[in-house]
Amino acid sequence: MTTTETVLDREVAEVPAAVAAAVPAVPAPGASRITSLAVGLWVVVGGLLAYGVLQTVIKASALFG
Amino acid sequence: MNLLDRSRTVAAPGYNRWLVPPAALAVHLSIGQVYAFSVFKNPLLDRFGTSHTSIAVIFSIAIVMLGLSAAFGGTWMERNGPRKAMALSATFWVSGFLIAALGVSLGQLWIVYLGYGVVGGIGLGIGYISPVSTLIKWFPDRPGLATGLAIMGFGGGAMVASPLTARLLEAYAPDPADAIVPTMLTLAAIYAVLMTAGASVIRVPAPGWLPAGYVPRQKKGAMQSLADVRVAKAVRTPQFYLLWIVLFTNVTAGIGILEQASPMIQDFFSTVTPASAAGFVGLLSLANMAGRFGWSTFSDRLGRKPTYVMYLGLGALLYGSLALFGASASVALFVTITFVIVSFYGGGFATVPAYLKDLFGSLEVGAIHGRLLTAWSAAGVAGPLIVNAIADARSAQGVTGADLYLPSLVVMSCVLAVGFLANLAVRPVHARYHEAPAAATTTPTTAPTTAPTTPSELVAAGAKES
Repeated sequence: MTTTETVLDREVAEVPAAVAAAVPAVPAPGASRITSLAVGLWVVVGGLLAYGVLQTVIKASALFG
Repeated sequence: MNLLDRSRTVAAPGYNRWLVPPAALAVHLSIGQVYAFSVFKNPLLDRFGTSHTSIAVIFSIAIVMLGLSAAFGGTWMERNGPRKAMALSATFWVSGFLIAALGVSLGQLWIVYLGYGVVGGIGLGIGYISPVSTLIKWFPDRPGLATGLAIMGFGGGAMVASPLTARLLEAYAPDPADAIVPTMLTLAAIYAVLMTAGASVIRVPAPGWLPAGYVPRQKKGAMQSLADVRVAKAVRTPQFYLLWIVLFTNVTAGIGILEQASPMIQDFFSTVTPASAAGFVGLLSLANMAGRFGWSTFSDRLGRKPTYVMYLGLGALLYGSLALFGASASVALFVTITFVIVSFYGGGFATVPAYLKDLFGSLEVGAIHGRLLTAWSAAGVAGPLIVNAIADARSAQGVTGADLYLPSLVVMSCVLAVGFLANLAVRPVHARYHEAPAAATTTPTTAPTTAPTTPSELVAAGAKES
């Protein structure tokens, strides 16, 4: 045990796993905002990739035309 | 506390790791534009009235700077975290466009070299490595999938930028040469927004975090190690240089096809028109991108060393078969073989960070990956030189048709064979290079008090999540 450990650290370390697993259920401030931003970014990058693939497929189709 | 600090990006407990890949993709989709630079080639030729080589140098400088900045910036990135690195990358990449636009506006080609080549190239290198190591840390159970996801974006970036740039050049002015500046400014604005969004969303896992139900196991004699090796020690191992050769040969051989895809298929088959050849180039772009994600993900099942045995061994055989039977084969068979070769090229790019993670651990994998990318820079110069020198020599001898490419194909097959042997020589890293377990669990941050290593700090880090 290092000198930087606090009483809280020792107590948390001793908490049963099931109780400790419940701790993350409390969302951190701003968590929903960052989740929304990340989901929105998924949509944007997915759309861009789909656009790029579609344009390339159209271009590639000339090979078989 | 600075918004860009690594400590501000530590994810709260329970953070969904699937929210991280779009940040990586946003950055790689932006910097992947560099592979669509050829769209600017003709307008720049008209604007400056110079040689093809003078314009091609812009791209070459960017690729060389990519390797150098990744090599020198990797350690800094590991210390400062991915958000600061992504922000820096965005600053350099966008500034590169702005400076290049100024150069075009003033009619000074050297300013374009400085802007897109040097400044933009630095943004490329930092941006390329910054999300890769973060994703590896989020997906320790599937590092091939993680690196494939990120690096697929780089291939996809060119697919997006190529038609987009062509449309902007058409839209802004009747003469594309007059539309270069507004097109560059528009792209700079788009990439500034996209990369900033990526930097905002990026999160690193708390130290010691593992996916639910995942227990790291090490098989006896396996290539994969649970130990970490720092970059300073990694570059002293033979494994690093063997992988350098593997990446160099893989990239050089891929360029052998990509550099001459359009004229090659037309010279092999007289029935193929220029329009169909352009379609062939598009198909190879799809192969490149699909290989990055597909083969890299597949390497999680097959293992990294056997995957490279396939890329390099089968690749060498396919190159050899093109040299021997390409001219007598059907167009469909030729296209199929080249499709597989280029998918291996893309797969080789995307799988190498996962290979590095297997050998050196995830502690400083971004910095080690950065050093390894000098192989890309070297291949980016050597590959076209080899291919064009052979083609020019054959052409000067009066050789035409498929025979023009036979020596190139044989040379590329031999190049891949060298990489194949280098891959076979890769063995697990000796334990003397490993970090002690205690050191390996902390990140080399300059602000150690903010790195959550105890439960109370983890709770505090979670509360900082924003």
